[in-house]
Amino acid sequence: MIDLLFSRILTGTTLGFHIFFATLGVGIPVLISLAEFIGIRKRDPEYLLLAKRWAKGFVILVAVGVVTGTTIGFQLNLLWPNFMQLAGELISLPFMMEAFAFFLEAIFLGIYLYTWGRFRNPWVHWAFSLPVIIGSSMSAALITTVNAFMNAPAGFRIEAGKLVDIDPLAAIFNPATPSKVFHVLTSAYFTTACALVALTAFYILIRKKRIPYFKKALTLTMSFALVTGILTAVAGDVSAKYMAAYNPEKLAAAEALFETTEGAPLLVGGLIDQESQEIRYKIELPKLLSFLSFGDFNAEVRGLNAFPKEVQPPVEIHYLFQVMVGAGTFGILLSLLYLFGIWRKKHFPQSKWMLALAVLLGPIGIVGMECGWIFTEIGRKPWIIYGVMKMEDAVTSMTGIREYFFLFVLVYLLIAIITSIVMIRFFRKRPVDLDPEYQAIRAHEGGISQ
Amino acid sequence: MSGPELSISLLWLFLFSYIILASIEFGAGFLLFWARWRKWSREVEEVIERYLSPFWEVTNVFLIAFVVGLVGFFPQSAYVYGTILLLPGSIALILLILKGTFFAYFHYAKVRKPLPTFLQAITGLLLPMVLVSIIPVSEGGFVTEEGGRLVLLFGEVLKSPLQWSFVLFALLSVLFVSAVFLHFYASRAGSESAQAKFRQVALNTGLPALGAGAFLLLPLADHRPEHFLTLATEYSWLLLLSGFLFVNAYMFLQRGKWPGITFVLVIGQYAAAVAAYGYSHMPYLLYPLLNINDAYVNQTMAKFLTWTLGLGYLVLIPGLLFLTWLFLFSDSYVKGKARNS
Repeated sequence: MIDLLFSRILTGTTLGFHIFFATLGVGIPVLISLAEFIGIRKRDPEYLLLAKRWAKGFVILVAVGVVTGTTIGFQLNLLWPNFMQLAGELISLPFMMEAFAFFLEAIFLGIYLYTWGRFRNPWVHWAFSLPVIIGSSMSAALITTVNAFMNAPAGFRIEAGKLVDIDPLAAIFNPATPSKVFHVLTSAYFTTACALVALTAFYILIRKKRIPYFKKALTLTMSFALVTGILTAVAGDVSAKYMAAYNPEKLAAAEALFETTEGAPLLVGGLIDQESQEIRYKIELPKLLSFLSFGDFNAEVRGLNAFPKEVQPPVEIHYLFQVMVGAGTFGILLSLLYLFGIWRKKHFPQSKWMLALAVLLGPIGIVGMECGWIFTEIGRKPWIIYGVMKMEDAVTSMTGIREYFFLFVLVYLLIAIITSIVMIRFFRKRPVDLDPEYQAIRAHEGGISQ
Repeated sequence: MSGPELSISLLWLFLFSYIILASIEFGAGFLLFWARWRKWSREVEEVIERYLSPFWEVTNVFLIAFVVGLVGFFPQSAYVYGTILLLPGSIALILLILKGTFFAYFHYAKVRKPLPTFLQAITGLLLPMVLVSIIPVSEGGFVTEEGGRLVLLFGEVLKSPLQWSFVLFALLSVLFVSAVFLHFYASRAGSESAQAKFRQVALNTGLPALGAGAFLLLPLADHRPEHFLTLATEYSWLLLLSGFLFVNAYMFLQRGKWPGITFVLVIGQYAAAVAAYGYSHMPYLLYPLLNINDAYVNQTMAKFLTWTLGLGYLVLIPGLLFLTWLFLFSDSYVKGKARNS
């Protein structure tokens, strides 16, 4: 049992570590491409510089992401060999396709990063960002179909212990795929926007000078955060409707709904007392859960008690769910406020409190994204493939996983610390006002105004 | 060619591409350190850096593609190898993490202190030594069944002469292949001092690498005689071809002529040797527990995977050619004239 527990914790830790880099790896190319697009369109070299400087940080994160991605790919085999054998028979197609999407990204990332200014027509260089975006978003989408398959297996039947009627395409396009892919992609873009908002705001705060370069960066990232934030919320709503239809016990746990209720209220916050099945310090929005789940204020939502004890997901995932939703809401409201201020030409978007909130958005967005993943993974308990394979049947027969766990945690900590130090130092040594390109832009503009 | 044979051959292409590209990467990482240690000219470092930066990610994807393909086409291998490789696989993973991140610090974040430089060099040499131990394991004799569970006798692997001959061969090959490639790249860049240094390294490691490769046959004959026999009879022509290509490559190296052709010959040399070894190992993925026919995936998935692989190659090959053209055969980039930062 202890080996199963630590296999789960180790896989979770590796995934949690990887998803940070993977999410930024999906989102940052979009923002880089956007900045370069605006720069070429508006003939504003500051946006081009922004794209270049983001790309410099991005490539470090991508490299670490490649490494952690390889780690999780191998570790799934090492810790869950039975699961991977079954997955190989049923859902290996998206894995294979992901490898090619990854190739597309890797090849064109090399080209994009090392051909700045090599083409006379600037749009040629910009065009190389597109295969990078397609490659990274496609690989995220494809790997998400595998996760969706684990939540809603399809494309096969089991007859007398044998797999029959195998249909790899039906497995990819399982019922969970549309909502999940939508939600994962939009939230990856949104989380990245949050992180870059925070980074920009942090730079403005630590240096007193308010240079237009950072203002442009902040407005760009805030606008992107608002658009993707709203899309994420829509995707979240689609996911909730999916859960209500296909995985009601997870929805019940997410909302800490114990009893089956007609016209169920939406629960905000609250402390769960498992013994008495009561929730304290709660805010309830009447009938909203029924509406969000089924589009009908009086629809019946099934509670946890309607399911056998052994397939009930742990109700604690309610907290994770709340943090995820809270983080998204905070991001949408903050970016809305900021953009409203910019639109009305108010002063507060550049004020200290606004920037401090924007810095907070970074960690909040990332914590929200991590909580969302932990929520969906723990919420599948006890299944590794919903209704088909339980975790204890999937885990390795090897023992002593606890020692491996400590070893890997040590390595991840080391990598996390060194990567942060390296990146901070890299950009501290190369502040934007000392960047030769930035100075060239300034000198040029100074010449015009004189 | 049967389905499993076709699949394993397609996967072999990924694996072999990884072996060559990774050898260049690992060896170059070490030579980077060595060049600083021995105070070689800055040009040496620049040549290495200019190649590695755009190619690094692609190299790694080949490894991922191979593993993904292996699990897809031969799901049983995920079960068997996944179970037995927990310990060596985890060691390899940790080395891979360290090598990859230190690589990123060095090249992308410009961390050039002696300690990180040394760490990316040493992890780059240790990694192929650990990865190669999968080959002796696949020869059988190191895996037992205890109460229905598969167990790898890791201590036995470490005590086996076969293991250490493979480790030595991997180490020398990494240095040889990367030196031959960098010799070619330096000549493209027109950097004579770097070219001379890489040529020297290639000349110094070439013969020991060949010797270590030939020496592999001895412990193999002892460990699994029938594999040795197939290799030495049915596939001896491939081994001879490999040796013949090496002799020519080595001659060119000695005269310092045709660095590009030399590199192609060395790729051919390794391709012939790896093919001889691999085909004589067939049909086993892990002797005697796992063979390609029994481990093969269901027909439907096999068909889909083969089509995906075929279409994937159609995208991959032009992409790779384009990348190579931009960074290997474009004079302005290779010679460092293009405006890159």
